[in-house]
Amino acid sequence: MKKYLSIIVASLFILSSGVAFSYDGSLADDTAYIGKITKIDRGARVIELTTTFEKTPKTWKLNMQDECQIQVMTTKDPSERGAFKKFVELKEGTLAVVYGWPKDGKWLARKISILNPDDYLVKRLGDDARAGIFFGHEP
Amino acid sequence: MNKKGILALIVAVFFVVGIAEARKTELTPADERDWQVIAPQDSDAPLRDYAMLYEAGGHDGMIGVIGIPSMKPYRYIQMGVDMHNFPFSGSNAGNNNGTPDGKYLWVSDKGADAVIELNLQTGFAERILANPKPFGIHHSAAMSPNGKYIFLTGELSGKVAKMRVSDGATTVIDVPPAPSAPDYPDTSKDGKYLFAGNYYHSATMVFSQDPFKFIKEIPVGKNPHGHNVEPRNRWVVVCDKLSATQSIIDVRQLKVHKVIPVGAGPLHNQPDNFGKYNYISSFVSDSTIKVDLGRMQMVDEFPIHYRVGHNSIAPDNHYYVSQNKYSTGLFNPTGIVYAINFELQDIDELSPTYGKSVKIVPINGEPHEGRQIFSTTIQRWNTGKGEELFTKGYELGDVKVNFNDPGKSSKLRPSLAPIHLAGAKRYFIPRDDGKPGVTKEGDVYVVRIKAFSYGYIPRFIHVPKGAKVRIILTNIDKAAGLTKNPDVTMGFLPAGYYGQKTRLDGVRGMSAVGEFVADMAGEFEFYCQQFCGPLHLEMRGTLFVDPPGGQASLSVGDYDEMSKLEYQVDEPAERDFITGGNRLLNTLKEGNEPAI
Repeated sequence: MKKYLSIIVASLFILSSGVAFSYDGSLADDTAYIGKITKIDRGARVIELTTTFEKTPKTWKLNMQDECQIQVMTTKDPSERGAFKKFVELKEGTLAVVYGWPKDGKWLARKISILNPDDYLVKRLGDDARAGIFFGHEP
Repeated sequence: MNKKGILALIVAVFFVVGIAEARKTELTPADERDWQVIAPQDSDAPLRDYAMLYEAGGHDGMIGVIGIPSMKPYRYIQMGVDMHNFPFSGSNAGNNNGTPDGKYLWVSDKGADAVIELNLQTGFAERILANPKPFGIHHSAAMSPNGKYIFLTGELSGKVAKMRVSDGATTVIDVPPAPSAPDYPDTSKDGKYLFAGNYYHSATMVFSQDPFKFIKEIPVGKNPHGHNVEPRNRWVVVCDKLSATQSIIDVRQLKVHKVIPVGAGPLHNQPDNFGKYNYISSFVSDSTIKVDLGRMQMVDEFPIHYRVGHNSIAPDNHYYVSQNKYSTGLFNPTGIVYAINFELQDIDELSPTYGKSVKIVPINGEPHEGRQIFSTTIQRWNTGKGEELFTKGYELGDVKVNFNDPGKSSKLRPSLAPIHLAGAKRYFIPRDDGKPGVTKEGDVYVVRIKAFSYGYIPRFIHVPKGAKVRIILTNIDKAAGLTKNPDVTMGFLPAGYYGQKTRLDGVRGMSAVGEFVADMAGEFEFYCQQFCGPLHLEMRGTLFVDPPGGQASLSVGDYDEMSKLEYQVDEPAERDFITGGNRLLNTLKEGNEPAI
């Protein structure tokens, strides 16, 4: 009886841990990641993005679709708002939000939106993280 | 020149330079937010807005284009009868604005029961996608991630459809149990699910996108309306209209994760580009509600002027537009139908005007879906580059976009003018106090309908096929439900075939009359196209045009003929630009039509 009880308790613990961990920061099947572009493979059209505002930053490999747009979302320069950029203009260290979806073991990027680090929403996520509220985590 | 002269010249030069320097204006953060302070431009235009708001104008039958942040109306584009919801072509990646490629938007016409394609680069209606009949479309706001399919909700028939936009081929599902009212839809960002409200069931319906099939219903708050999937695809945010709550559905587990108390009468959502905040239009509390999707709680509320319906958010998250339904007392009267208003709110937390309304403008029609796009997406074709539209297309950075779509000519860019109440016989008479119901006067079937918040008397009307029909609509509403706004007008619009001819506006003190010949048999749901309060959507009735010897129903009627939608255009030549309909009903090869 004790044996069965302990199996049930252990199972419940594993199940609840699974649920809790499933929301620990960004996940492989998320459809948007926010962070810094840490590596660019221009030949393979693959970028690496390391998430920010998470308790434990993660690095994701993102394959650019043919239709993948690169666009300035927020900027200090008003004339640059919404400007489309070419892949050669994309630089490592750029803060971006990347949209796409996972398919057949790859994560396919459809849009890279370049962010102004001083924009209010970025600052808000930063302030929250410093206060212990991390993006992508459940309260 | 002597020494004194040289000295005087030097002094004068310094004086002039000094004045010029002093007069130089440095852009401050506050200036940058002012639309009148223009940044370096690539044209001689005095103003260039950085974003454009496209709005489906409701009963004005148009798509309106509004500049952001100037809020100046740029254009109204004629589309159909009663325009409701649309996605931009491209992808649904991101928030409600998606990832537009700048080619099209596909807007649902609830009055004509069709989807109209607008070419964003020419700025004209280009094609009509005929819904299978009977359908009774309300929204078509949901698009698959790869942009090849749109999902339509048949609010008036209890059906939901997946449509291939290249040719209008569809798969249609009847949503059990009847009655069912599939309402506002949105697709998950990973191509797996379609979510749609069902206000008769107070539930969120879940479908798989590929193969297209019904999965389950998730009970949510009472009478749900807006449904949107936030950019990370973790949550579906649901506006529980009559519960004053927001239900948050977990996309992975397909169950309600949390219910958040919000303002009374939540209608529509606008998540920002990160999925950090969700902005909700709150009809009864007259406010914009800000929900933190990380903390899972309401964190702010901005007052608006007032009775908001839909909403939209700028592509850089800096502005939010509250698309308000009434303007009582705000503007000059313009006849029976008043202008509604759009209100620009500053949502930049670092701005000195954060949370404030910075502009309010009168707007035509009764706009529904609003989505914003960076103005860089729309090209300048009027500078001698027009030919490139046909030959090369355009570039968005590295991405080359052209119009060589399957089944369409790359050398033909139609400019359609879908019929909007053409040939309709409509007029006003002094208020009619006759008994509601159907009477025969000579050879005319006279239908007296009383309209009020939120219903009609009678709700069911029968006339025989071939009858001459005269509808007399009388607004008997005194308080307009909760709102008490004097500019509330009651509407009457039978969806589909007769919607082209009989769209009536029932103002207080007069009766509106519409006459037509009931030459197509079928069951036609009629509804109120003039927003009259929070339960306006449920203000419905049914017109049965009975075939000889029988009774019309959703399965008995001239639906194949009506589905061709040939009545939608004036010229036979324009019929080439109509596709879809019952001819292509259930021709999608489910399981072989990937949504990503």
